[in-house]
Amino acid sequence: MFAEARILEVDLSALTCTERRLPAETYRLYPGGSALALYLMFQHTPAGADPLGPENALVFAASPLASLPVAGQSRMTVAARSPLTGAVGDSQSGGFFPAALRANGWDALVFKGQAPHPVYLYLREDAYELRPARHIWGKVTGDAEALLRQELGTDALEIAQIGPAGEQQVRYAAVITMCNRANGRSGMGAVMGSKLLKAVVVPKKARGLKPADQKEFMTLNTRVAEKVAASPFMEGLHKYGTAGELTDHAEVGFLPTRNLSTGVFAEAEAIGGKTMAATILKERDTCHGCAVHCKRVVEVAGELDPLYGGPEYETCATFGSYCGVGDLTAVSKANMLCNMYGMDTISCGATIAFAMECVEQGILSAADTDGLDLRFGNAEAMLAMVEKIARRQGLGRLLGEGSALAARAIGPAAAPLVMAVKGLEVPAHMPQYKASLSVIYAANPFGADHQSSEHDTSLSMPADHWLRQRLDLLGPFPTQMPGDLDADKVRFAFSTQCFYSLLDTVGLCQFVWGPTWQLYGPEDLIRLLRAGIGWETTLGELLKIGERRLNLMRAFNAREGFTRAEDKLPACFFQGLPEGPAAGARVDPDAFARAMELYYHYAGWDPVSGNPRPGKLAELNLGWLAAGQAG
Amino acid sequence: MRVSVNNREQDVPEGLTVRALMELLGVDPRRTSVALNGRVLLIAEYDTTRVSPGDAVRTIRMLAGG
Repeated sequence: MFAEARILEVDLSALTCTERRLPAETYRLYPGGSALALYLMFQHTPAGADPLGPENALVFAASPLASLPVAGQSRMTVAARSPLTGAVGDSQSGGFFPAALRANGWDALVFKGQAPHPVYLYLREDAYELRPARHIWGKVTGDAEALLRQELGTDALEIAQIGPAGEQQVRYAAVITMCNRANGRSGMGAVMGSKLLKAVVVPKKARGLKPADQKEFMTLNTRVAEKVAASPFMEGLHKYGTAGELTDHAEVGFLPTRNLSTGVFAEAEAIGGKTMAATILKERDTCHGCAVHCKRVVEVAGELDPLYGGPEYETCATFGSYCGVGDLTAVSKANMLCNMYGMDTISCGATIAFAMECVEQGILSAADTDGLDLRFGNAEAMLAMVEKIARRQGLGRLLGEGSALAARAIGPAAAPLVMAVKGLEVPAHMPQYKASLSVIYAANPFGADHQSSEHDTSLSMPADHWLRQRLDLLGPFPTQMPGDLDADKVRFAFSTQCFYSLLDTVGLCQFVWGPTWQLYGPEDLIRLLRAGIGWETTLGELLKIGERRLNLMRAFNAREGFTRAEDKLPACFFQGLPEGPAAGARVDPDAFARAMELYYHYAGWDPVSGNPRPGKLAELNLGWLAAGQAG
Repeated sequence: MRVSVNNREQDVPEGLTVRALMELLGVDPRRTSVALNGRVLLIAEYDTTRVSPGDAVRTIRMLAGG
């Protein structure tokens, strides 16, 4: 049985809070996380809203499973119209905040308007209040968190907050929890800053949700540590974190390097997960209820504070190879600064790499860079620029706009150096190798993203491997090489995108739950939903939910004037890589053009506009969008 | 005998099975596949398929997101 959703609407302009209930039949269509957030955005954000204006509603939406005693459930979406892209903004994170939010009985929070002065929301199970936050405005996350604990007289709190970068409305500012987990992508921290909302605070709870069917739930949850140890993929995440695969990317010549101008980085080993484990790793941290422990905590006395965690693969790449920096301590410092100031490490590192290439090509001079020698490999200049961006000082003011807007200000020579789609900087997986990502990067409604579909190498594993047998539940698909981009590969991309879209809706970690290599597969997910929250469902209904969320996002963009014209890749992906084992590798432009046509066909979208047609919306119970209604 | 492994010429012992070749190369068959002359082999073929002189071998490691 599916319950109704409990939502708090916060009018920051009026400093009032109102509790709402979403009927169970509606919640089942948008069951948490990203889909629920998008549904609520359509209720509250008018077309054409300024992303940094009071009309742009900011939504937090938890997993309906959050706080259950099982791995991968403590997830939360933060969504709003993105100030970085103008398109839909959408970001996920884990940690302990989502479990605490749900354990206190809340499914979603909607923030509207703009507060007259800085505030924070103190939210409990049966009470909520907006409190003044002038005393923590301007503080880095660690200091603000300490002050809030002191003020409220307890350490038993989970805190989601912005840092100074969000206050300064850096367009890729993040929402940070635990001082080291980020709803990073698409600038949700800037939206929060524009509302003068510094933090959301919830008390920890000793007990979370009780499984609907305890007996069946336990069958999913028994001997998890053994399962983690037995899976080569979980074992790798546990030992080396997400950065464990960095050297594997380098080995095949596809580690994005020097603003993605090459896939070869001679110092890859120095910035990878194995080196981290052997040198500066202090601890393997985790999210609520998870036995994988993929999170890193690093420490160097006087340089790296373990409060701010440690770098993920993406961070090691964007501040490492993207910037030509082979110093793991410097990369970790950049990660620490981003967590202190509250910024997305992907967009921040990639934007600095963009500026470095502008300097290398003589497009920016030393006068433009505040005297910094902002060249590839200069770790000190990179770190100085992170602080300048967070505080919007000097060139940091411009780079805080993101690489696409910065390039417009710098001039036409800078445009080809922007590695972004729809203004969102591309993550560290090269579509010249993983060909399906060329389509996903281009078509994804919130910009280039690496966590929106399964990657190509799953299809290159033997057809009798257990992960392929899982994947067959969505297929079947023929075995393919990573660089292949035919109709079957596009079908794989779209089908797994729908599955990942579902995961971001029911709010599950994509390392623990997924269609192929993860700890749990699609059949386990159906069991989890039944045993966890009593939801009797099918894979068909779940994939439809994933597809519904994709269409919601695409429809949001269409309302803001987006078409397939924005579904385009940086030109450099179509040019051959210059060196290394993958020399000459590129995205074939003809294959890409055919693949995009196929993608729109599989999605059922208009091939001219690239947007959902009324018939598709109606099929997905989204007819109210075509009618221009509010749901 | 001489074979090509990931586009590099390499000498390996005669009559090697694919599984033995994977051991020799130090790749983990749980997370790496082998394409022999352009075809990804089934796991069921690792013990029965032998590498021949001049074969082109490619190893493909599972690389996910993250």
